[in-house]
Amino acid sequence: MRIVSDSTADLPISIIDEYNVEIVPLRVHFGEEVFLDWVEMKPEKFYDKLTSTDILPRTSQPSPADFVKKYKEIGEGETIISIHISSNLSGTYQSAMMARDMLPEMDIHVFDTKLASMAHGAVVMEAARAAREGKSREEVLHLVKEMIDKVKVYFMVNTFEYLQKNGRIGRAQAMLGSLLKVKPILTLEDGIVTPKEKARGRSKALDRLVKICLDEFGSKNSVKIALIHGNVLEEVLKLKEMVEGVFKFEEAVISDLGAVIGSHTGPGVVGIVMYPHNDYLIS
Amino acid sequence: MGRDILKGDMLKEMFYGGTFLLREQKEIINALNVFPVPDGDTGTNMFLTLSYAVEQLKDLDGDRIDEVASCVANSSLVGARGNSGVILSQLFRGFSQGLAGKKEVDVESFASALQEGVRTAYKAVMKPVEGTMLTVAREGAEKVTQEGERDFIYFLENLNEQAIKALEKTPELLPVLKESGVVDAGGKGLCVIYEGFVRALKGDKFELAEVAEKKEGEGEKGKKIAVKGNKGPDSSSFQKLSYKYCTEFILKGKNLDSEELKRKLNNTGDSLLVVGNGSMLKVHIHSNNPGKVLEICLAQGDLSQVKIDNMEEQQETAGLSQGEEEEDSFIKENISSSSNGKDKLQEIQVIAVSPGEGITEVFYSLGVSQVIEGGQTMNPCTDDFLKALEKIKAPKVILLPNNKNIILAAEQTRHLSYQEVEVVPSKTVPQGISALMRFNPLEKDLKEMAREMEESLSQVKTGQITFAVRDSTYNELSIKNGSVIGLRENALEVVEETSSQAVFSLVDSMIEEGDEVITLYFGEDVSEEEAQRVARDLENFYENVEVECCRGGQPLYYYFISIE
Repeated sequence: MRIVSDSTADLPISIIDEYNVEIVPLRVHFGEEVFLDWVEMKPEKFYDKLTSTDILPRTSQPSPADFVKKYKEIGEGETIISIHISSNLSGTYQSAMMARDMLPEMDIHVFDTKLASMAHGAVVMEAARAAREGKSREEVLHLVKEMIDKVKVYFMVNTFEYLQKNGRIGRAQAMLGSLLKVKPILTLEDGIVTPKEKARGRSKALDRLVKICLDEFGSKNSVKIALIHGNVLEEVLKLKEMVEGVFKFEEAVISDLGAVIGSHTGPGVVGIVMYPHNDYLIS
Repeated sequence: MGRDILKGDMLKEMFYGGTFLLREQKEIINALNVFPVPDGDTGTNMFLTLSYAVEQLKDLDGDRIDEVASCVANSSLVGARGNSGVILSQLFRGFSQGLAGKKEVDVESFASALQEGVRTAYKAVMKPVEGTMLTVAREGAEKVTQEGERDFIYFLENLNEQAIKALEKTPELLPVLKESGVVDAGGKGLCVIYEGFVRALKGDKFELAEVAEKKEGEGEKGKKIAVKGNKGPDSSSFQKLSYKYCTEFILKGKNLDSEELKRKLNNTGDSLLVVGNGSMLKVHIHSNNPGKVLEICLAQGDLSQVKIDNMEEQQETAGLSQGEEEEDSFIKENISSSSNGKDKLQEIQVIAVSPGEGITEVFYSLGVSQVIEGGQTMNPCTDDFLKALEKIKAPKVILLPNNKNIILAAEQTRHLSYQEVEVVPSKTVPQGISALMRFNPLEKDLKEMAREMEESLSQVKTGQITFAVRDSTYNELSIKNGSVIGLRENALEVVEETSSQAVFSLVDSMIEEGDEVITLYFGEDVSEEEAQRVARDLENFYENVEVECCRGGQPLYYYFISIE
C-alpha cells in the first residue's frame, strides 16, 4: 500500500521521508517563471521573492498525466491511496480522479480532504503511519474518512489581499471592507475559506486561536497538534509555548506554508491544526 | 374641599400635570449629573418617556381609572428612554397592575398601587441601587401608606413631601452623589411628577395640546432619532416568506384580553404580538389573510392606525438596491465561483446604536445590519429599537446599545418583539466594536453568539474625552467649566486644558504591558489633521503599539479611545 499526496500538504521533508509518502508537486508562476512547489521553490526562497517583487504569483495544479506517471511508477499490484487538497481550492483532486479513471486496472483510491496545508497534511501523515504499521486497506480507508471529518484548522492572515486576488476568499468575503484594521481569523468548512472572527492586533489573534481550539477540543482530551506559519517563525514558536500550557498532546509539528498555499494567503499566516487523538488513530 | 375618590379623568389630569412640570424642569434635572459631562439627559429622558405615554391618553375614551393607568403603563413601556425612563415605566406598570379591575379608587387602594409599582420596578432592575429613583419611590410610597390619610389632596401633598425628603437623603446613600454635590436626578424627576399630580388635583389646568406641542419644539436635544439600514453588501438575506402581509393596528374596546386574542389569531399567521390590556391593545402579525385578522378583531372593538404592508414587495425593493451596490463593489470580479458566500443565509443580524456618522460607517463595515442614531445627547427609546427590529425582520437579532444609559431600554424590547432578541450590554462604542470583532454572521446559535460577544467586552479599555459643563470637584480634581476632561470606563480620570493633552494623559494612565492597538475615534469638533497628529505622536511615544485614527463624527466628545 502506498500513500500519494500533493505538495500543498506542506508536510515537512522529514515526515515525507519517514513515512515514505509520494508527493506530486503543484506549480507556482511568477510571471513567465515557473517553479515546482517545494522542489524548485522552497518556502524561504518563496517569501523572499514574494516580498521583493510586485508580481502576484499564480499557481497551477498537476496535470492528469503527472498523476498517471506517479501512479505507474508505484506500479500495478500496489493499493494506492491518493489524498488531496480541497477541490474547492484547487483542481488537483480533479486531475488525480482523471488519472485514476485512465488506469482502470489499478487499485487507486482518491480523496478530497476539503482541507489544505498541514490540515490536509495531517490526514496524509496519519494514513501513512497506519499503512506503515501494516493496517489493512479497509482500516486505512476508514481512517482517512474519519480524519477528514475530525481535523480542524484555524488561522490568521495578515491581509485579505492575496485570498481576494487569487479568488480563494470564499465566505470570508463577508469580512471585507472593514474600516478598521483587523486580523481575520479563518477556518475551512466544506473545503471553503470561512470566517470565524476578527481580532485587533496579532498577539490578540494568537490568544484567540488558542481559545477557539480550547472551545472546540477542551483541555482534558488528548489531541494532536500541528502549527503552521508563513515566514513568521518567532510567532509560531510563541504560539507553541501557548498551546503547551493548555492542551494535552505529545508533540506539535511545526510546518511552513509552502509556495502554492503562500501564494493564496500571502506572508504572515499563523495557524493551528488540531484533531483528537482517538482510537481510530493507531499509534 | 376634600376628595376621597379618584376617577380616570382626574388621573389623566395628574399625568398631564406631571408631564408639563417635567418639561419645565428637565434642564434642572439634566444638570444633576454625577460627572460634569455634557450628556446629562435624565430630565429629557423622563419627560420624553412620560409625554409619549400621555399622548396615547388622548385617544382613550372612558373614565375608568384602571384603563387610564394601563394606557400610561403600556405606552411608557414602549416609549421608555434611558435608564430613568425604563424605571419610570416599570413603576407605572406595577401601579397599573395594582389598579386593575377598578373603576375608581380611594386613597388606600391608590397607596397600595403605588407600593405595587415600587415592587415591580425593584424586580425589573437586576441590581437595584439605593440612593436612586427607586429609593425615592419606595420611601414615598411607604410613608404615605402608614399615614392613613383619606383625602387625596393631602395624601398627594404628603407623598410629594416624603419623596423630597427621600431625595435629599440620596447623597448619604450613594457616595458618588455626595462627592459631586448633587442629589439623584431620576429621584428629582419623580418628585417633579408628584408635584404635577398635586397641582393638577388642586385645579391647575394643563392642556394636553400644550404638553404635546411643546414636545415638538424640543429644540436643543431635538435631534430626531433615525433608523438607518446598511446598504452595503450582505446587509440582508433573501427569505422565502411563508406569510406575506405585515399587519399592524390598535384595537380599542372594553375589557380586552390580550391572551384570548392571541389564541384567536394564532392560526392566521406568525410573528404574532399583542401588547397592552384593558381598553387598548397593539396588534402585530404576519398573515396571508389580513382581512380575516381584522374581522376577528372587529368583533372585539374598534380599529385604528391600521397598517398593512406587502413584505414581498419590500424585499424585492431592498434586493434591487442591494444588487446595484454589489455591481459597483470592487470585490465583485474576484469572487470564486465555487464559494460565493451566499450559500448560507445570514442567521443573526445586529442592530447597534451609533452616536456619530463615522462610527455608523465603522459599524456597517463590521457587519451591522441596522444602526439607530443616538447616544450621549439623545437616548433612543424602546420603541426606536422595536422599529429597527421591525425593519430588518431577521428572526434572530443582537442589540448593541453602546451606552450604559441605553442598555435597559434595549433589554425591554426582548419582551415586546416577536423576534428572538439578545442584548449584548456594551457600555461604550469601543466595547461595541470589540463585540463586533467576535460577531460571526454564519453562527446559528443566538445565545451562544451573544455570550461570546459579551465575553469580549472586557477585553477592551475605553477612554472618552469631553468637556466640563460646570465647575466642580471630583476625587480631589478641581474642574472648571469648559475644561477638557478624560473619562476612563465612564469615570472621571484626568482634567486638562486641551483635547490632545487629555488624550495623552488618559492613554498614559490606561495603557498596560501587552496592549498593542490604540484607536482614536475623533468627534465632529476635531479636525482630521489634528487627530492624525495626535495619533502619530502616540505611535512615536509608545513602542510596539499601533495607533489607528478613525473619524467618529460624534458630537460633544472630542475622542473615543480604545486600548486593547
